[in-house]
Amino acid sequence: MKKFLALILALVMALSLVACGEKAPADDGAADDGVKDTIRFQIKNEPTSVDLQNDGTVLGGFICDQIYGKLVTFNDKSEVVGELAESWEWNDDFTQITFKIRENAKFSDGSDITADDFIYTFSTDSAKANTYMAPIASMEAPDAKTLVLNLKSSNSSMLKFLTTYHTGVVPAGSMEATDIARGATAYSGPYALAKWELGQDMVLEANPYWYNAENVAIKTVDYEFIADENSALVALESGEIDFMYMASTIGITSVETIATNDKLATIAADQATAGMLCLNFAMPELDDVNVRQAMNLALDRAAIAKVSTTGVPGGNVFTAEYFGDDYIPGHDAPAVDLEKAKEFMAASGYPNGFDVELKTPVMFSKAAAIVQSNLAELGINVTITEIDASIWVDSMIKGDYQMGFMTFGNLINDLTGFINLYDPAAALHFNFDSDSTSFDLMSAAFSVSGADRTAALTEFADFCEADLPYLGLFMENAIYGYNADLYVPTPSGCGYDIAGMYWK
Amino acid sequence: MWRYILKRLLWLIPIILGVTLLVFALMSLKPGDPGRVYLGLNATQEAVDAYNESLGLNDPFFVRYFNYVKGLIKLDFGKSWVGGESVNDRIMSALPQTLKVCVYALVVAFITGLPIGILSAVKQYSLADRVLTIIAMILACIPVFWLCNMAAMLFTLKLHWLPATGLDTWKAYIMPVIGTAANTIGLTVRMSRSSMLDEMRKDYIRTARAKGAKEGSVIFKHALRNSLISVTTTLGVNFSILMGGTVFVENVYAIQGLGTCIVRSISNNDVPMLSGCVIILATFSVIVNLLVDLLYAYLDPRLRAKYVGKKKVAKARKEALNDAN
Repeated sequence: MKKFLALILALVMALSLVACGEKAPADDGAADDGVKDTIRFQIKNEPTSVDLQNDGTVLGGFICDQIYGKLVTFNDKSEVVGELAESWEWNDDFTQITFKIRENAKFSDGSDITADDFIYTFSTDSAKANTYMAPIASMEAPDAKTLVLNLKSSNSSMLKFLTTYHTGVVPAGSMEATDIARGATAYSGPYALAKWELGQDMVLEANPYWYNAENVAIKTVDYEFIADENSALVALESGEIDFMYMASTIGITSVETIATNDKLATIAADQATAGMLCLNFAMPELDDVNVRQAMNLALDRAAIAKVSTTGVPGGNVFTAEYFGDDYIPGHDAPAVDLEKAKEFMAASGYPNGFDVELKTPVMFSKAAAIVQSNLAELGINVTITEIDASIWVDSMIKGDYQMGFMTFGNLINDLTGFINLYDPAAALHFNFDSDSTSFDLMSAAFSVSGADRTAALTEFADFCEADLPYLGLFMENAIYGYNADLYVPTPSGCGYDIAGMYWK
Repeated sequence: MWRYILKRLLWLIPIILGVTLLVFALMSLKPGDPGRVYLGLNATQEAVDAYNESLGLNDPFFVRYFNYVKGLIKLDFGKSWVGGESVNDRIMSALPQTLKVCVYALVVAFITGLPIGILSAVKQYSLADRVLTIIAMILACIPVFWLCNMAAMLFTLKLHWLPATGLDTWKAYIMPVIGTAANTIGLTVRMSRSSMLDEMRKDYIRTARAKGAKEGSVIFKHALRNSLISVTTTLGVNFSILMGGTVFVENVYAIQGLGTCIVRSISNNDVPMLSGCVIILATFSVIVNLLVDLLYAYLDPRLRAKYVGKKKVAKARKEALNDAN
């Protein structure tokens, strides 16, 4: 017995010794002058990589946005403004852009950012395969600070493409010298990745050579990986983190919780993510435009938006005022009109209704129940099938569905990139359009700019309203919760701007 | 004894092969496209196809499985399908977090569950016994996820005593360890109570009492020692349950351990990462069960005598043969 107790005691002592190897608690983030300059930032999980050209995950994007500088960015009015480029000029037919790079644009190691760095970064195999850089045919560098992009065809959306983090720049030759998935040799954004220990810490430090470094008040960003949103909310309320991103699925509850706490604040950012009900035209009933019009007028979008997102009801063309010059007025969410919906149904080839399956990930199951109830008014018997979120998109791409929920983001960067959804040959087409009319109309907007582009997009939008290749449901808002002592600027189309935050 | 240990360790090979085959087969049945998950919705199909090809995902199932097992022989768990990070590196960073929480939880379960079980048995049918039995039953059945969330709300938000996330300070260990241990504490109390009651009813206890042994000596010297054998047997099984339970606990307390890694790899369809984590969990379960069996042999003189006895008999036979020759 004594030996057994001794064994247990030894085990406890050994474990206590192991516990001594703990990390030192973080300091309060105060700089030498006493002004707080650190924030602890919640993200759902550790990013898979910081590979700016390949990583298309939301989490990877959160980090890449901060550490890789781009030629241009969005301001809070959704206007494209210079970031590393101080100016640019189009040629007449939108096939060439010439950028003037800032004289004081430097990497985090102090070396100059030159046109050659952009040519190198945009020439990798990954860049060529990336949607946002694929339109580039060739590049020239007349001098170190001038970059000329020659495009494969007219593309007035190219500037917006260049606002995405995928088009950030790294030092020439650096991708051969390091595994970019784990970090670059030097960074071109307002922050540099200072520390990344797998599963433990991810810390960004302000880039002292950023062209606007003197205006960056937050010097250290300490990422905390908290997957459970309730836990993140507890951590925010207890002061363990300063800033959290709330996914739309629990956003409303969290916002209500935060509203009762005067030490916390929230900001809702217009977000270019749309939710829609995809209709597979391979099903004859859904190929009938009268059926689609009837469904369109029966859907209670306000109720659907409320249970599925923190956003607002959306129309059948994804556009909003914060899309800037791509905003197409007059295409808001239609109101419920059951009488008119029934008239459309009576005029369709299926006046007595039909059976249809609606596939949805669990996050939209409440919205699916509302759709089911709305369409029952028209005699359409909807069977809801919940599927795992990880196989949801795959199932849609394969056309293995009749009706299905889908969200699509980054529209502000890429409204015309949304064209993939209309291209019958594209992987993301989802079988929701029986011909290429909408694709052709959208394509036409590529080659023009200004008023001509607005006119082309309006023609496209009018067609969509009449033909209804899919049913728009809502536009999401991104909600951020944060310590009320932190100043948070209005997030732009490029997400939140940590470099613009400061402690009051 | 060494042969027994070696035999048990060799069992690891079919177990690991079985686990990997099962994980590979299940994940292959699950639709989904790692290339699309990693590259995002806006990536071109060509880029997605090229990425999948680079991972060998277009190879037939058994080719992929064979290649994976080939790597395992060199202790190489491969690279993640989502992001390309080394699975070995990820496991090396995640494993200590999970192990620390699990081992502490096991110790807590043992050093709290055992005395409570003994007290309950010694005071059978008393008020204390009834209350402790009810508490043990509640602990054994309480959903870990709910308990962890409630504990965070109470100890972090209301009382401000403990941090809600991470394992940065000793205080941060308290909620995850107790959350992980809760079910096991309940089970240990019930197991130690029933095995103690079994022992207390045996003849040798009655004899000890009849000979005038003090009650403390009867309980701690005689009954407890024997009841410990069955309690110890359950430790290995409990450790496996604890490691499984970390999936919930790590998620609530934002601990970057194997549980978090498993959840993430399932949602990303990341087979090498999931297989690596599951293999490690299976290996630890086997090793801990082996250690428990050895401890069992140490605690039970009958079993120890069996091993020693065999050796002695063999030695005596050998000597007898030599003498005869």
